[in-house]
Amino acid sequence: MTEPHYFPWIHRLAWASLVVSVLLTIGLGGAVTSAEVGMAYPTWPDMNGASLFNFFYGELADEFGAGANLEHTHRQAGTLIGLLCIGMVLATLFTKGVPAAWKKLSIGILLLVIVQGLLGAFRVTENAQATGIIHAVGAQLVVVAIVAMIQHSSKPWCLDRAMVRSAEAARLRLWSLVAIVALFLNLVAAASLRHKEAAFGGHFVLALTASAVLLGVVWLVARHFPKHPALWRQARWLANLLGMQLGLGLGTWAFIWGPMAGRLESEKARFLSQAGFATAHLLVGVCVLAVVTAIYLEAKHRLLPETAGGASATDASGGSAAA
Amino acid sequence: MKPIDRLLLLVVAAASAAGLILTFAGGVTSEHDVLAEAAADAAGPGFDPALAEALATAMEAEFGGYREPKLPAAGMPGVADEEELRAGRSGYAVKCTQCHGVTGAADTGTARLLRPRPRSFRLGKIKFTSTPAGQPPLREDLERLIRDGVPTTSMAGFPTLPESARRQLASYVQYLLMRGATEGALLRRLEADDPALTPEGMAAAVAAEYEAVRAAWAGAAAAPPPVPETGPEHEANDRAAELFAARACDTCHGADGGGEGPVAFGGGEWLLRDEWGDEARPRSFADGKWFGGGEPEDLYRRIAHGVKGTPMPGNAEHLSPEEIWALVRYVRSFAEEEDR
Repeated sequence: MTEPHYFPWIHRLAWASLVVSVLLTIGLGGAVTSAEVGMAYPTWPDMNGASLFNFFYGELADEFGAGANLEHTHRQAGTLIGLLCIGMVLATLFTKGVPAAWKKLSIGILLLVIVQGLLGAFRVTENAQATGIIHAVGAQLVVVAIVAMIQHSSKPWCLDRAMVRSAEAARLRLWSLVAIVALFLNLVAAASLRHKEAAFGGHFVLALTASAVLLGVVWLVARHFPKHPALWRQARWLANLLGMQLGLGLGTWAFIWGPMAGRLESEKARFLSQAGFATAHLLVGVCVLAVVTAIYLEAKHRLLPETAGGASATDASGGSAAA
Repeated sequence: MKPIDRLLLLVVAAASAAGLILTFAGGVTSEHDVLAEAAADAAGPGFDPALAEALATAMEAEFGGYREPKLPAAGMPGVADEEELRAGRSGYAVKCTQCHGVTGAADTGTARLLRPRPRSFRLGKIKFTSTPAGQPPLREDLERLIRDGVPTTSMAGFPTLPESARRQLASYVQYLLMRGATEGALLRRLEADDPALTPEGMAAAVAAEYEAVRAAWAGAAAAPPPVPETGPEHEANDRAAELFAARACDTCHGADGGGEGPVAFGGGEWLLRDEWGDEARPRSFADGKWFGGGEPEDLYRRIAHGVKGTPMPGNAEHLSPEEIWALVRYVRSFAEEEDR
């Protein structure tokens, strides 16, 4: 058995990557799609001849239009996450004692980010709108992979090897995995709706399906793991985010297709409300995916199924158990 | 796995399959009900509904719908057949609608947030052509724009598209330009309450307007103006600065070539507008960004024939080829000075 290990800098880098990827890169990417300005700069890696590292946003907006700043900062955020991932790879490769699995995971994340960058480039240089759907789904894969890195490098996972036995471990693992799959299917429908104006009904049905599965996951944790601190905390987050997400979904629908669509007379107000709701809906959706991924990983790596004889090192209510 | 979990999994799988089928069964498209939009555009608020309806019907009879465009009865110069037009329309739907819109009106969300604003084809003209002022562009102009884009703007170039696909795209853009010019001419007559326009005579009026548009395109294609050789350095070079001032280039482009001449820029605002209603900012020669191409031949055409739909006039009637070449060298020298 290997010695316990904890590398706070790798954990911090993973968190920084998550924050940058969700709040900046995906948030701005969602705003780019909401504002339909993905083609503001049809060139890559430069932007109509301007450098990616041009920070004079006012001048750029004056020259290329306000929408161009969204695409510009989205690319800059993508570069930042690339740099953070390179840092994470270097940290895992050159820090003594880092598990091999972490090294592979960090390299995998970097490769995903590179592929994402190339997909984004292809999207604009070829004006390939369908690639925008793959780009959107790929971004969430990056989030899932970074959440895995955060979990693996977290202090409890590194230093407290205790595991919890529960008869419901396999069930939680199954349904949290189903929830992740359901969220990705819903994501394909949502991205197709946003990028190619696919039917709204598909996204609606898949969103309801994913929500039902997510509620099931919350129920499983509440019923069987109320004293498991990590799972309980994650389930509470999930429930809150899910409520927020349904509200934002309703708001997005209301302002784009529903009763609010014709209420706002000012074009600017209409645009801001539609783009604002749609982008917030996307962002909270990413957070839902991140939290349910964390629950799945917790169930997969930190819960043990009940032994045949029913003997348990500890029950799900929390006490420490020897793995 | 418990039986209840198996059952629930089946329910989730069925619901997910239904969701995916609903998403993709109707096909994915970025088009709206374009024919209805076109009719509403044509009608406008102030027109006689019967005339507007007759115009929409006659336009559709001549040109087809935007979903299924039709080659006008008199044909289109340079366009082989209807199949080429429809192939171009498919390519346009994928590559161009986001900015230029289904009807070519550049009325999309993207267009509103970009500068320069993507071109609307509804006026029947584009800015950068190799034809004299007042004439429509050549096929080569359209194909060049599609291949190279408009440098330093949001207009992408598509050099990796097969040549045949670029030709088809050019055909469809030509269709939108010719359709826009025809409809625009009739709408202007409607606005002016032209008594010759009646619902019964609308089809003939559309055909007649289109014939004028077609003849202009055919005429431009038949005699594209040559770009004379630059030849040896000419004595006109010595007079380039004088010519620049004499032709009032400095009033818009500024004496320093910075693009902020007194006619164009004042009080912190851009003062000129183009025919599309957008800001018309004179080019700054110093930054070396040439929207219509920066080769000497491109600049020669621009100075000789102007930039269509903008305050930039053609000078071919006022300057000799040697003098135009001298101006080309002069305006390029601003960027060279900046580089130094």
